Amino acid sequence: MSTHRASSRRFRLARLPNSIFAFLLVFMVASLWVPRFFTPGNLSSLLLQSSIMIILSVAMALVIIAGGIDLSMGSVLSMCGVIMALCMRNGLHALVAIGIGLAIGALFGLLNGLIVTRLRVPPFIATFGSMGIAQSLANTLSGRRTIYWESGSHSSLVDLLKGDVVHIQLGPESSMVFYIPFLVVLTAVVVGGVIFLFRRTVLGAYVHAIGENEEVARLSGIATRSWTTLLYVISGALAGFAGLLMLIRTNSMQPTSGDWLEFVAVVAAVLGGNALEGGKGSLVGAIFGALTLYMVRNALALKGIDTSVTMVVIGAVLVIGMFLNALATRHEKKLSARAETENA
Amino acid sequence: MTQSPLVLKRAIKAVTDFSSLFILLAVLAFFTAITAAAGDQYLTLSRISVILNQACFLTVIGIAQALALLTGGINLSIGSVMALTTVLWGRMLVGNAPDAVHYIIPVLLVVGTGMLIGLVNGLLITKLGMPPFIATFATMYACRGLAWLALGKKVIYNLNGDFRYLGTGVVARLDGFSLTVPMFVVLILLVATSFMLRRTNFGRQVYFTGTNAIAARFSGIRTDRVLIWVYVLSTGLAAFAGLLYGARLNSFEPGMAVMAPFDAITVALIGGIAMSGGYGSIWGILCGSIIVSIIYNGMNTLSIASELQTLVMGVLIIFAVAFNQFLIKRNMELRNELDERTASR
Amino acid sequence: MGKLLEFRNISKTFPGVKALDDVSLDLNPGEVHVVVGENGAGKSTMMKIISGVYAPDRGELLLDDIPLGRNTPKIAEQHGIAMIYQELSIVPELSVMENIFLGHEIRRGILIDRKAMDKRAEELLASIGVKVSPGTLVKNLSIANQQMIEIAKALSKNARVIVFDEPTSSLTDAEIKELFRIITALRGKGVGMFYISHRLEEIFEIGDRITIMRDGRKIATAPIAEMDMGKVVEGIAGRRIENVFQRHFPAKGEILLELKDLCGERFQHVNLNVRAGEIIGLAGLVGSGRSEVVRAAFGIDPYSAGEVLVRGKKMPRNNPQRLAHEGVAFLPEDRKREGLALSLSIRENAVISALRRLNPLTIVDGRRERATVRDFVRKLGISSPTIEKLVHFLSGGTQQKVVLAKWLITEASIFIFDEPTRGIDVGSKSSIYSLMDELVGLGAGIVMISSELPEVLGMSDRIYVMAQGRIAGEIDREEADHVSVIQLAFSQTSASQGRSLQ
Repeated sequence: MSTHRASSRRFRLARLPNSIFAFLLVFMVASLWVPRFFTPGNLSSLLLQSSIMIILSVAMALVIIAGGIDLSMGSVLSMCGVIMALCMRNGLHALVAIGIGLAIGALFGLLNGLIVTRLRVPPFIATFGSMGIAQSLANTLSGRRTIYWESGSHSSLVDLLKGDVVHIQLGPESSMVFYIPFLVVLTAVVVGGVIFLFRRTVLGAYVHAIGENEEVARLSGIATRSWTTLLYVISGALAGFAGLLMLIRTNSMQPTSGDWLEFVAVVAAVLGGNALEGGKGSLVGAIFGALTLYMVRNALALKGIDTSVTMVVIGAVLVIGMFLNALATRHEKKLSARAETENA
Repeated sequence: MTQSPLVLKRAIKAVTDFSSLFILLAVLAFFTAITAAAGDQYLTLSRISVILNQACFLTVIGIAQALALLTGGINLSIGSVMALTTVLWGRMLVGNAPDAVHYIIPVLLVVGTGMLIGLVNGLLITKLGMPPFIATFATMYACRGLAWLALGKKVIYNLNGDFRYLGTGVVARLDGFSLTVPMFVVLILLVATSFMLRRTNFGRQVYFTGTNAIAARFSGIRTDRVLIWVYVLSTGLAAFAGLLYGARLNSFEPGMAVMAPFDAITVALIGGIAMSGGYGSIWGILCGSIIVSIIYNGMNTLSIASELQTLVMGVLIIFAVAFNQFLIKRNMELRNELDERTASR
Repeated sequence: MGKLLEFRNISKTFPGVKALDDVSLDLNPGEVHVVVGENGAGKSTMMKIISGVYAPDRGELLLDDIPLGRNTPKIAEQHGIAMIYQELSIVPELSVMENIFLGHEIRRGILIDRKAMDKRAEELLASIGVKVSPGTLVKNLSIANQQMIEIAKALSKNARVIVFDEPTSSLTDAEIKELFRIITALRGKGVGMFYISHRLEEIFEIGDRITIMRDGRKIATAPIAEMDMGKVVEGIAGRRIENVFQRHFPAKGEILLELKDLCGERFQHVNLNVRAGEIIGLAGLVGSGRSEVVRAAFGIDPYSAGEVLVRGKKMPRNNPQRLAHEGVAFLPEDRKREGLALSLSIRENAVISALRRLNPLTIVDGRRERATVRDFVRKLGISSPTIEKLVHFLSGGTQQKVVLAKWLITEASIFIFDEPTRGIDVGSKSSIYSLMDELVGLGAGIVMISSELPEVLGMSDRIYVMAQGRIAGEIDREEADHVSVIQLAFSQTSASQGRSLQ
């Protein structure tokens, strides 16, 4: 029995997402090379900067593990943000506005899910099409302008959420301020909730099964179509939630603020070890993927390096990260093969 | 089981063979009807010429994307490659500088650089085993960054007149219809690609690899080499599209054609190329680009806000693909049934 | 005690094949009912009707003497019918426990009750004596243990009827013993089991009753005690043994293909050769490394040491194109996945390997291409109205002929057939046999991997038998019989030195 426990512990170690290696590598390089990187202030702002992408990439990972993809996420973010902002401009209470925005995000996800499962349009194309639809709605509703609202009692919730939960002055410089914004707490709660559902309800097992082999899942008695649809609903709602975060952070809403974010989310998820063919992956990995990408951006910006160089570096990080993932996977396979021969 | 008459089946099959042509006619009919209701004539010679001219650029990037899609891949680097390659060599195409080299040299350099980036794409996909989506996303990012790095916030403008002829030249005018140089260029490109895909060994291998890459390997096809060449050609074509684009606008700039890879996907999908690979015809791309061009043009004449155009495109993509999928399945069944019947007689 | 399950006069037709023809069969509680027959005899179709994947055209299925009516996988499961497929239906990235309870988790509200599932899984695994912790990821288990997980999954649904579809095909001897112990335990609990197998030895060990199928018909059902190996073999093969395998024996020529000390992940020190004019049988149990050896030799998979020689020339690794160029042809077992592009036509498939030969200037000569393909379609007796027919719509036998045509057009002279007649109807089988005979008559050399003993014995000039990744022995046609091949196939590591029976 003791050999058992030993081997299962080794597997649990191997269960840590492979993307952690790329993350640690970038983290160490940045800490050593960029003087102002490893300061409380910067780490706090890094969390703030990456919170939206963490939400999106977790949602993306969920869909990708099930063998799908959701390219409409960024546009849905914009659309929901615009709708919430418009609601508030027209004097609706922030809570109502948020409710409407999230509901519309979920509804849009439902539309995606139905197109994928009922019309049998491949997820890439279905959500590519709906990306255009959501983008168009965001632009049309906003008249292509940034939307502001008058601050008032109805929007006090947003003002509150803009603040920090924790704010500690550790030193005289601004870089020595450690703070945790409400936004980061909100992100942690929502992402934690999704991971909780993924692990503690049937969701995680079903998502893996559907992505691995839909036929096997169906034969096991899983209503694959309904579950797939539900996944798109979740990702739509989470995109809407990301829209809320964007709105709070900028205290306004631009109809183009979500453009391209879906692609970054796919990249973060894949960098986090989620295979595009489905069946394999991890939500935590996606978080590390998103953090890695934003860390690169943050570190280069601190170093005062031009954004054009940053783009090139991110391309390179992507290639290196994928390479590291592949190496880690190969190593993991070797480990499990060895464990098996030991057991035998 | 009652069997419907053979003639009818043949007719249905003919329709399903040309599904994107069908969509084209439907779109055309729609705009004709709307304009007619407003008491106008839609299909005028000058409008056709404008539409076709617009479709030229879309066709080139559509072909570039279709090559990748046919192997079951995707090429997201199209727009960035257009920017990087033209920005790198664009200065050689400026104005009438006395020491200017013949414009063919920068043109070759641009396309050559594009092919080199395509080689990188191909190597990332085959040798490092990266999914095409991620590999070409990485090059998309890197190339866009390099383009900005190369030129900064400047623009290369006032291009060589001889070179601009490539993108704007008019060969002949009939009433309102202008026969332009890009039309000829694109026609040649279409014929050449179609020939390459249908009538050469390489083209056969592309389709076979796209349909079943494993079986291709078991059949002795060097699938890695096929894929690398596909990305070299696709990315090289993208660079060429950048030249056409710049010639028309009379400028090159690092931020150009950001949406090109997605416009290209739209054109290819509406043109009946299957994303799963191995299915679709190059001539469908022509249909696809004309459809997209008609919609843009039509919506402009109806003065519908441009932001609504992406909505129409989104809906169209979803329904075109659902429709095409249905037709492909029907087409295969019908083809089989007709084969059986002709044999039994 | 009543019947647990009954098959009454069931027929099922697929396009071009009568898969089941008026078959009746029953299963008692606590019984192991063995079903044997060649591939394509109708066993799998029968089992898929039981599990609700297919609906019968005629006849009915009774459970506890009550007609079942409409059957779907879901309904079958609710009635306690479980399948254990040859191709495992597990999700590798999930844990043992998650796989066992996939689709019927123990819940508390909307949350899954991990503790209860852990406990129940532990009990289930203990009841069948499997020492695996429920938290282990299934991808980290051996194939044998993965199969045990499937059995545990069936038990977790309180299965009363379990269908085993060739469960031992990838298990080692020790693992098979373990499986049999579990089956015996299930028998004691009153579970009725269908047991499909190709391994005739084991059915006498585990079976209570046996049913022999052939060409979609039931040949016999009898208690196992009243049968012996000879009767079973005769029943499975029918009288066709003598007349199906028509062989002529041309003079043997030079060595065409030779593997020297080839070592890889799943095979060690493999030596074998094929001469012009002979058919080499490569026998052995599934999992003994047969397919892996030829795949590596053809360049599909890597090998770690050794050489592959074609006509004395050393071949590079990982380069199928080179081997194809040197006249080696590979006809894979899984034709749909590895041999054909299903949505392309016969013509497009047939010419794919010979493009360079047909069109040296790379431009396709359509007329020549069509003429060539038509020629081979006629020669091989491919039954299709046109060469433009999509391969998707062809029967298994005809598809195999298209793969063969693909290589004949390359003018290959060395053919590797991996299970050439798997899933092919009897008529096409014999025509493929005679084609193989014709090929060696023309000076080709053939390596044939096969799990069907009659085929190996009937077609081969020489037989190499593999066991546990090594060549356990080489037998000449005259000396080969059922017993000698089986003995070698089951031989343990003592055979690793390359013991020969000669």
